[in-house]
Amino acid sequence: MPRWIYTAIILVNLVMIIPPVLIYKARSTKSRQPRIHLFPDMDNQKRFKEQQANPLFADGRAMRLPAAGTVARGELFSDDHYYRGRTSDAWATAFPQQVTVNADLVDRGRDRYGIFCTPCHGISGHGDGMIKLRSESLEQTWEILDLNTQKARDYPVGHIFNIMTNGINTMPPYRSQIPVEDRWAIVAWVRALQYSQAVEVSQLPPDVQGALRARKPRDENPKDVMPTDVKPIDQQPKGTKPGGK
Amino acid sequence: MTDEPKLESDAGNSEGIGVREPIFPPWTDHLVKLLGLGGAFSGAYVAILAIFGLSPYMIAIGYMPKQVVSYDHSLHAGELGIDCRYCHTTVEYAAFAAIPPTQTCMNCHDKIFKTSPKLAPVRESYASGEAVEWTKVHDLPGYVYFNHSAHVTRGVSCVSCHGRVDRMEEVFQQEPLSMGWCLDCHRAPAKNLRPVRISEVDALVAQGLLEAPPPSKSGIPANRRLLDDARVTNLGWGQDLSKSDREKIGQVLLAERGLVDGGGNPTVRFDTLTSCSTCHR
Repeated sequence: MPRWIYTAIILVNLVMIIPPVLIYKARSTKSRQPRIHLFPDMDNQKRFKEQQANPLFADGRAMRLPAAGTVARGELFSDDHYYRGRTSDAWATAFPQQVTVNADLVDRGRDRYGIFCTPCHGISGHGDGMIKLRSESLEQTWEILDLNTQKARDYPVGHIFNIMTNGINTMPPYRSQIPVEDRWAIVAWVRALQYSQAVEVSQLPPDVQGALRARKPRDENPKDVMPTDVKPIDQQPKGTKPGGK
Repeated sequence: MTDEPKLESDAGNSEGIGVREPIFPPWTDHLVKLLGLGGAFSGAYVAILAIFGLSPYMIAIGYMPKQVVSYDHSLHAGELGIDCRYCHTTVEYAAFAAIPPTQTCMNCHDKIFKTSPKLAPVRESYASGEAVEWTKVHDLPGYVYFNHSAHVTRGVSCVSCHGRVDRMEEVFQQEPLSMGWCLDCHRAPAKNLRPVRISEVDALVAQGLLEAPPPSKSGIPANRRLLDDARVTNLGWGQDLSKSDREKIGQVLLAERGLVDGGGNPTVRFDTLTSCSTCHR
């Protein structure tokens, strides 16, 4: 066979390697281009999905707010105690009748507290959450109330509910993020936290009391001492993310 | 072809040999075989290219649009450990997992990085009331009904469809979100199920499928580990478990929820999970 045929066969085979390589590259890299629609029919329909933009309205949003001055059925929120934490002209000192305080409510509160409150207030409420620590390391910090201080303990439940609803000082309002019933559940958990952090040892179950009494004071227990080779975040070399990968 | 008879018309050619050059030289015999081989191979080649090149794993995965604000999930959800639901608040109640309003950003960023240029679009949005125009990454076709709350509250974690968002600096599509991929789980959901209640974690610990939390130094029972095991937004959960263990855990959870009886027989109609009208309604 003439030489050019061999050359052609080799060339064709070399060229045939290119498409699989391109496919592999596209499969293993990220793209700014949206997905390819092989059969585009009905994939994008002429309707609006949640939170899409709609040029028809002045604010550009497809989702609409209720018309001004209207109240939806069941959304009058006239119950001051349940929706605002107030009885006559003072903060409510008891939970409203719609809320049954039981273990389920406290568990729900612990769960919701974990989502919405721990970033600043910390797991046990001492105001040492990750956002607080981060803001300190950035030197852009602000005061976060320790929920276990006497001041916070003295707040009536209605006041705690109102703080969550409307915010206070530097704390933003959470009414759009936490539904009313969950705000009351968090109030219950905050009360449980406050109780747990100030409880008398004599009130604990006997086995826990025993374990506590058998324990050495903090500075005598070597396991409790922070390892000395761990540096605070702001002293670590730049560019490293603690715990990150 | 070599012993072709001499033809009249060839008699007077210039070299006077009188033998006509064959139209198809002998090597064309081999070429025909080669072409046949190549033809057969190219069929398989094109088929393989089409299967791999047009698969949803190829055309859908890896979409990472440029967002107007370079929000870093690996910092906020990963390093700082903010729960997914702090921002995506509707995920347990509604079909869609809401992109948070600008107010949620400003909960912290009216205090932290108040002047950062990266956050300028957020501040402008906060001042004007105009929405920040985020680009949707995981967009299903218009004829698919997907309900976030139905999945999340039953222990199908965010990570099953969205991947380790807590490690993504920019969010990209990690899974194909194709019909075959959805059905893979809808036909056998156990492998993607996770505990969502402390009681379910307790049941798994009792069966030896999850490790019991280590005793705390003070001797007071530690339940933080149990809480984290029951948190559906804990994206790293189960990374250390084998596939067969995940399957067993899923089966225990199905039994705990009364969806299968003691013998592993369904007590509800699982075929509704694969019925057309479940997702195309």
